Amino acid sequence: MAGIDELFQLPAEIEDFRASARAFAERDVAPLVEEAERTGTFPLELFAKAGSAGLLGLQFEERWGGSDAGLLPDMIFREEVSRVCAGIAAGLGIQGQIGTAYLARFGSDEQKERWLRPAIAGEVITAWGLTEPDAGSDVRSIRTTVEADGSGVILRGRKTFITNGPIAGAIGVVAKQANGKFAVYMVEAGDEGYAVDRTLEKLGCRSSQVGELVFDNVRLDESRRLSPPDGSEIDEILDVLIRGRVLIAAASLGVASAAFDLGLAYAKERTAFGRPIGKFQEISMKFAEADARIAAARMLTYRAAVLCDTRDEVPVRECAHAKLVASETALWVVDQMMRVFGGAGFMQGSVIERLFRDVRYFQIVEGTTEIQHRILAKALGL
Amino acid sequence: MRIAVLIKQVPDTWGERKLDLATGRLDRDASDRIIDEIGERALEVALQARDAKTADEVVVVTMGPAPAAEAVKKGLSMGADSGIHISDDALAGSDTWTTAEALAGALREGGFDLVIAGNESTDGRGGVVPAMVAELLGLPLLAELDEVTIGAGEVSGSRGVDDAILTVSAPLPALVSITERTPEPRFPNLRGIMGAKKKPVAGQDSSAVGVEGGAAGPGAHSVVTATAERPPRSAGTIVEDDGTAAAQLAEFLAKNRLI
Ligand SMILES: Cc1cc2nc3c(=O)[nH]c(=O)nc-3n(C[C@H](O)[C@H](O)[C@H](O)COP(=O)(O)OP(=O)(O)OC[C@H]3O[C@@H](n4cnc5c(N)ncnc54)[C@H](O)[C@@H]3O)c2cc1C
Repeated sequence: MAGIDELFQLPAEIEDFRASARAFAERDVAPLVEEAERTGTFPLELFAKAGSAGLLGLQFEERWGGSDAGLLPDMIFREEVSRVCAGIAAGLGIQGQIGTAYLARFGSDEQKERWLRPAIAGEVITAWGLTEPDAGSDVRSIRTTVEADGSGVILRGRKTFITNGPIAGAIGVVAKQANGKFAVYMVEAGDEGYAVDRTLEKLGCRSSQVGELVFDNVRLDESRRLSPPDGSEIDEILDVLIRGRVLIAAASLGVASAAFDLGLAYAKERTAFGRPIGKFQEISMKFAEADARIAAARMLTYRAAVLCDTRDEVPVRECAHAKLVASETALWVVDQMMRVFGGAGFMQGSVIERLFRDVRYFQIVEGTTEIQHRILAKALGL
Repeated sequence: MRIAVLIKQVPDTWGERKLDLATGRLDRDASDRIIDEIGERALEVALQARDAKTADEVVVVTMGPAPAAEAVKKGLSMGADSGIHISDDALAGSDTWTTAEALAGALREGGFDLVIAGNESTDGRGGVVPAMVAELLGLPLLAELDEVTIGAGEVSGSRGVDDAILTVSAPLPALVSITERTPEPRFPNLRGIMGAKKKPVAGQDSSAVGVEGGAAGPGAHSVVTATAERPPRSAGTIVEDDGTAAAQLAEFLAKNRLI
């Protein structure tokens, strides 16, 4: 039987891939972060760069330019880029998961040729439009509708908090049909009646472009419809997104480790009362505790990814465990590291200050912490 | 067209590098081992030629102890088609000439149209191996190219010198060495990493490349006579500005012949 270490070790190829993902993050992303975060802009050239480095289609079939390698490497990519910048990682991450997962699963070859191939190459930016001003966690109550019109449909509604929305060339929009079922349509940036109402200013992840989108009688033909003719139950649509929770967990790990590394270096270098602050028991315990909590969160996250890749059924509970524990761990770790930095961490422009703002993203997206609790409680028969 | 790319495994420049003071050789275990970045750039030049369909095949060639197999593997992950790894205990501690002889030995029968190397490694920094290999193989050498164009029967490029840029060319077969000004190397993508396992690597020992002995053998042409650790850095001087700081700084610079 394999030793315990072998059981919990990632395959050598995945570790080699991590070196590439880290090199991309450090060489191509890191130099752009300060300006992107300060000005709230996304360095758009990174889409093409990540695409040509083969980083955007890790889960998708090779015939569309992907790697057909599952969630595990995608998770590593998200973790490594998030160590450097959670906002940029979010924008790039949409491309390989929520922006395209539904298309990859239900789209026809023609539709994949049109949107998936260029998304994987980084030539077309994608977004996923589900949330609305009056429907977030409660997705069933969305009000965006499609109404049959000749050979196509007319789309009406408003979507908000849409990552990449303001810069996207193709957006998967979830709408309600007359029969009460739901359908996903691809809307393109130039479509008549479609507009970006505004780009939203945010507490953190400022480089990611998040916006409110309006669909004012957008006429779409059949070629834009991804869902089956009759429509889908909302759960069938959400199912495709559950795996994405592992990526939010991975992003949380990236931010937690970035904060940990920064804090540790500072604790060794900053002195008070004649010694490095890390030598004070109360400070050192923060690192001991954070080290253990990050390790635990990482184990849950990696395991969820492996289960997603090896099981036919979506491992709903394990994905919720990973998302819940990793996002809350990251919040706790960053909070502790803020204390290590004292006043320096409170000042604008310090990296820990950015991480403190960025980390709030993870307890909200792809199902809030409370929604993860609900999923788990339900699974336990409560 | 077949292109050979010379790569070398070196200690990571970001880590601490150490010399083994007893042997005068590099302590290869003291830091992480990576492919020399200049070698990755040389490979990038070759891979771009293959992407453009000018070249059909790219082979990475290295000489180094067993762990250098990782460097070959990385080259294959980046996209090289096959590898040659020259490794033999007898070659340990080879000087630049012996290294060049071994590399030339491995390349001689390979039918290569072009050999690409970095201008100098970040560890030994001899900067002579490309010229020696070219000499041993009787190939024209285009050294220190900042930019390379590979054509059907010809390779050309430019080299920056003090106040001019030289444009040089040579008919194939030829050997070029490149500088850090050539494009940044690509990262191995996941498909490349997965595919690398299936690509062939030819192991060659000293007799296969026709070289006898390394440091102590008859092949050695240079010996290290003495080594010493670099003295620890002394504390700097801090100039307090009492109104005369500028004068003090100028005096310091002048005294140390820095101005
Ligand atoms: C930066 C950012 C990027 C985003 N990107 C996208 C995107 O690309 N595409 C997209 O479609 N959406 C996106 N979202 C939206 C995100 O998915 C929603 O914000 C999230 O689902 C929560 O919805 P809400 O904001 O409407 O909060 P609400 O649903 O109004 O929740 C408010 C509070 O009530 C709690 N709550 C709600 N229901 C329950 C319940 N049943 N039990 C207990 N507590 C409950 C919530 O946990 C929360 O604490 C993004 C959001 C942010 C902040």
